[in-house]
Amino acid sequence: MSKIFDWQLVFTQIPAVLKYLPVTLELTAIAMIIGWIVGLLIAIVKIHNVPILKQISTAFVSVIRGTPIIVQLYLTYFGIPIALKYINYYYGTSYNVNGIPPIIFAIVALGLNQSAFDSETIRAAILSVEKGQVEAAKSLGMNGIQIFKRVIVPQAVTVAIPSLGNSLIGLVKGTSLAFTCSVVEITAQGKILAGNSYRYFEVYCSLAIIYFVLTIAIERVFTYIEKKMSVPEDVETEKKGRLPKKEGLSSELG
Amino acid sequence: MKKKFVKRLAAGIFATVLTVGALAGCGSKAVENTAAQDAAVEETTVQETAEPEAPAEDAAKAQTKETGTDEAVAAEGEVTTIYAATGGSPKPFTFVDDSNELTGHNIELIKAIFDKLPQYKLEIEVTDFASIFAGLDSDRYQIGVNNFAKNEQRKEKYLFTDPIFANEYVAIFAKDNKKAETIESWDDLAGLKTISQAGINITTALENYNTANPDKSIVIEYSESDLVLQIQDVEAGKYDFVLMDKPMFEYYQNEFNFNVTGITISNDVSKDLMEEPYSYLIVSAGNEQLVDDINKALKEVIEEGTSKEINEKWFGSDYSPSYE
Repeated sequence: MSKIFDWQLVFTQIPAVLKYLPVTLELTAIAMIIGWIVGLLIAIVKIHNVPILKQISTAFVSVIRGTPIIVQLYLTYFGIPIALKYINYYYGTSYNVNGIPPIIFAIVALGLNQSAFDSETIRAAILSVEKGQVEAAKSLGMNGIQIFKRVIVPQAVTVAIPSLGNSLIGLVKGTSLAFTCSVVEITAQGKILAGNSYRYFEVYCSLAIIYFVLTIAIERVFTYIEKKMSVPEDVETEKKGRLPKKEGLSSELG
Repeated sequence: MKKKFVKRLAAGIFATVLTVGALAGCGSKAVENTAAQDAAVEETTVQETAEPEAPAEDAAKAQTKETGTDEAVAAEGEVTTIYAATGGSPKPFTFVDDSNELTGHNIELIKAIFDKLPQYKLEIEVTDFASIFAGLDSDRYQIGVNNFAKNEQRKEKYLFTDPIFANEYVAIFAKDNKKAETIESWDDLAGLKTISQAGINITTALENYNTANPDKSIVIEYSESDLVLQIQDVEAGKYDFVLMDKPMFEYYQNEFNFNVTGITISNDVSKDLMEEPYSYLIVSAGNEQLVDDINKALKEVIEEGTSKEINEKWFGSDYSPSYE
């Protein structure tokens, strides 16, 4: 009986898989940024109770959170061409999305998925800032943007960072589904390699190692950021806390 | 001060609505918009990350996008790009080799076919197996090439070319399994338990058999698990047998040397039950012309012996379908 499990291959094929690491990172980074931006917008809409938009975002968030990413990838990558087929048929147009690189569909789907989860985190973080502080800032004459930048963001970010890190880790692993849109990232490359060697189990072990290391790296980065962010709380509160207020006051007066 | 904030908010909201629109697929404008936004990002990144062939492929795609509308209006005699999708497994039908080239029996055959069709340009994409079907539904891909078998449901949704491969199946049993001794035809498999992946040709064959013989059906358990694990489960007695393409089984035995026996399920017997033990290329609906062209070219490829060459290269014997 020959080798059922080729443990050496688990390590020797890692470089071949890693060739596609940039694709995974690209998917993750761009989707993360989309997630934060759209998530922030949704959070603001919800907090400020903007009519209509609030309902739309609520529906959006619940649909996205209520369906698996793989289904969303299918819907974006294959749903849009189907919709266009109908549009072309009924309106005699000839839109064609086949020219758009598949990775864009994956990025958009992952980014929007991320935004739904991040929006709740961001909303909770913003709401965690005491109302009294906002009122105080107002009484000092700060305008909305100033309050947002100087009072809300520094505090909200500290609250949001752990959850955002959490969802980023989820996103890294979510990118492994991008192969459904024919985007070849590390998992897809693993499957392709195994298609040649028949060694699927070995490839999944290699992938486990890679994702694990990636996740640890992200965890570290976020722990570091968290530490940095939380410093003013105990030591330099007075100094840092006072400065912006003075500035705000003087600029308003000047 | 509130005004400013509201203004900003409105701009942001507009963007949100656009993206939501894109997701829901309710506006082609939104789609193009997103594409335009991301195109710049894409251009710089693709070149860094992709394999040498990829940029050329992308360029080709970009070109089709520009000329896409003209093509749809169709000046004949122009070269049409056909997108084919494959799952990149199983070897030796379709796989990516050590030098990162897509190859295998099905791939070489489809290339040989399109060599005879200068009016088409063939682009083959590797994707997740299930995505092949979704891609054909949406006409994102025009051809599915993954050693597909035919069944009634598929016939309704997709077009089939003439057969490209005359399949032979083997039922794989654990070596010490007594049941294996009496198996000669599909009927002998009745009541036994097997495991198979949804959508692949073997499963289709099993399902076809079950539909034809509701009283003597084979118990199918569906799984996405890898064939190696499936065979190990058979070795361990969890399932009675697992069905495989004969040439594939030989490759697997070569690599793993399992403690199993493969019993060829004779085609003569199976023909009555399963009218067509063949593999095909599947083509998305509405491309009848493409199917005709492929069939013509395919016939040439088989008659002039190219198909035989490809078969012998990959399997050691000829599995070309015959036209009699």
